[in-house]
Amino acid sequence: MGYKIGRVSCFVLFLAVFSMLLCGCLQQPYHSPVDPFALDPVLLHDNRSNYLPVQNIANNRPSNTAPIPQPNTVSNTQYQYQFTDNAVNLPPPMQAREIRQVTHVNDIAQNDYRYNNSFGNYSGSLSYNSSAYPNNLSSDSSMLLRSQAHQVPQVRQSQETIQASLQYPQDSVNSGIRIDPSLNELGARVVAEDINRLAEFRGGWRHSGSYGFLPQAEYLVDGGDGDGSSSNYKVLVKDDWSVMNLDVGDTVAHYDTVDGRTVVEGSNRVHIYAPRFGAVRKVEGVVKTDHSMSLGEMNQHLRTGTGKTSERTDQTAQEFVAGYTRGRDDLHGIRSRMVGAGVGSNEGLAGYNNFEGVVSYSDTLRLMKLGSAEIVHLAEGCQNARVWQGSEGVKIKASYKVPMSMSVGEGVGQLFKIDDSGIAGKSQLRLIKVASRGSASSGDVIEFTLRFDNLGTEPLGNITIMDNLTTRLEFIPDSAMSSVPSGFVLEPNGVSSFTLRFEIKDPLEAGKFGVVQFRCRVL
Amino acid sequence: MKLVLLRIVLPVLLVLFAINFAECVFAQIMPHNIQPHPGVNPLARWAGMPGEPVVGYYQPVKITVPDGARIAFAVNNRFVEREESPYLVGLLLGANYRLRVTDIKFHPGKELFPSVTVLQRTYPPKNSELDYPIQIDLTHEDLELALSGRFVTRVIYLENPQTALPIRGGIGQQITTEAKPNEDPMLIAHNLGKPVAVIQLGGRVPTNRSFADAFFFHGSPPWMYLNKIKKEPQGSYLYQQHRSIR
Repeated sequence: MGYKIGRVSCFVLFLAVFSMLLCGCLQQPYHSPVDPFALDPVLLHDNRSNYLPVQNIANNRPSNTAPIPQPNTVSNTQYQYQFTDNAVNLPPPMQAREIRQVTHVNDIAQNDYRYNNSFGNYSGSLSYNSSAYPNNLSSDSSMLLRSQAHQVPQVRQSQETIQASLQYPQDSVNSGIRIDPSLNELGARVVAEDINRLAEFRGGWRHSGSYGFLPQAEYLVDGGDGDGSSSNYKVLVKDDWSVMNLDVGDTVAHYDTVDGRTVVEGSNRVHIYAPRFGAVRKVEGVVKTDHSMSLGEMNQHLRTGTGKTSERTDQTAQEFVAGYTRGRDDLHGIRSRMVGAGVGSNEGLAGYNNFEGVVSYSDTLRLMKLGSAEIVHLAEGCQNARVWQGSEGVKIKASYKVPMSMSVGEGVGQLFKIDDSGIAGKSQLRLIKVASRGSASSGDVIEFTLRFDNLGTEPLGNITIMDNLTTRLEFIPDSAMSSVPSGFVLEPNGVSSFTLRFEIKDPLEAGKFGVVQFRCRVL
Repeated sequence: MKLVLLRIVLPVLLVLFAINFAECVFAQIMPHNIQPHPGVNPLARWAGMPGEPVVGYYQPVKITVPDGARIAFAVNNRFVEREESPYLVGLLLGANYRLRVTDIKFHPGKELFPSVTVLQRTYPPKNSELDYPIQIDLTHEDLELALSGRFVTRVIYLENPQTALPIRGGIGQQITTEAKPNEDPMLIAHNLGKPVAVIQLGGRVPTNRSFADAFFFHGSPPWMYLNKIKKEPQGSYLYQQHRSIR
């Protein structure tokens, strides 16, 4: 008996575990349609005149690329980007840098983020500077990014949450501009329900049912290295410079380090609101059908008998009869010698003899006649009117204590200091992807800008930027440009779109950066 | 020990198994399996799927008809003529609207009375709701088929960008997939994206033209005429709606 019970219980336990695993596989995985790290900036300084037309090259980067020179031996200052922060010329190891958030209190939609290079822990001191608008930032701002701050709801803020927000782990900071997704623009910790609202206001609307995020279909997502799911692997670069796992929509950069490694770095993801509607048509109709059926043979002999009805009404008697009938003869004619003699009364309708109460006033107004009885009521009304016009009436009390002017201070919200010391000897490339607009319709042209920064302390060589465009983005020919000398390859990606490849020719020294641009048309 | 195993552990495991299995099964329920309420458009059961906001949101919809045809919506069981195509209107989710299409090219005097139902709303960025409405394009072929006695159903879906076809779309160039006679257009649309609206034309005409037919007009649910707001932008139309309510 015990053996049986144990066997049954083991079977049931196995069944339960198996069903849990099965159900977990059947249910749709949680996919955030909105990358909380995603930037959607649209504003860049228009320094396109400083860009260089890219040089079309036929094949991929050859394997015998030039060796990486030693630091400080190659200068690419000839192609320096104009609004670069290289004017700071931070020598390696880099000094502590700053991220400042400029918060307009009354207009969150106008929030601007000014980022400098950042790397490392989000740790350090926090100080408020509410005195003035940070004019000093406008000069050294390397990139002015306009985020979707207007879509972010305001949440609670407290000093404790701000302090807690600064303890942001380093391993999640893959890209320098990423910030803690649980922080809002004011630096406050966003509570759980507000995080859902955050996604909703940023376009992704989390479904409470089992369908996950439905509005993700409205956004055109481009950039990044995979979507994080198990079916989308990270991009790999082989020894022959061929690239694996570059999926549609991926944007990555791979580079070589001084110590001989090839590193792949993905960009941030760009979300563009570009819904496209299709239709499924079904036409139904009735087809005329002629179908004839005939009897083949009938062998059943049936005979109709005789039907006879013998019921007959004998007599109908009405017990109650009318006693008498009164009839009226209609007029056979009307003869009258009298015609209308006119209206002899100037008082209008007769019968309005009641001059009391409200009726009398209405008659007065209607008949334009003021009777003696109405004069009394009129006198009372006048008396009442005089009473109300007297001192017992309500007076208007005016107060002159109103502000003549009102000003709202707008200043620096917060100041973050990022400690990136102790990173000497590291190689790090940051790739930022921005789009010129956050929403687009079919036929609109979007300009994508890719900026790559060498955040490490060693030069990076053979930088190759690859962007596998989604199917709804059509590359506009001859629109690719670069701020540094680079080659350009356009390859079909197999889904009727293209893969763009920018091959930066010169090594990128520490603290330097470059920008490539191209335009696409939304299908 | 055996008693504990038999009386406690086993029922607990059975209950866990049942709950897990039921959750798994009900999570896979598709809306086309849900029986609609009587008197409701069977396709409207797709509206208001679990968790979707339904009440009080006027989804902007742009309806385009070809060749100078005109569309009239109903107010209080009577059609109201407005400007020419395209029509930008705000429709409630799940409500059934009766339209009238007149001035059809090559068919003077003929009329069609389509029905429109919005199933899902969209989530455009703030203050750009009117820039990205649900787009419904009626082609001249649709009108011809309906006039010839056919019943035309167009299920409008929001295309999945991950599986979007690399072809150009736009006003009057809506990507259209034909459903076979034995296929459900709603299921096809569900496979291609997210069904957001349904328009059906052909078949029914008013039973009595002399007085308002409430059943024919589906009760004349409220709608908003947004063409004028679009021409005179004063911020979000939802904000205007909020102001009008106040």
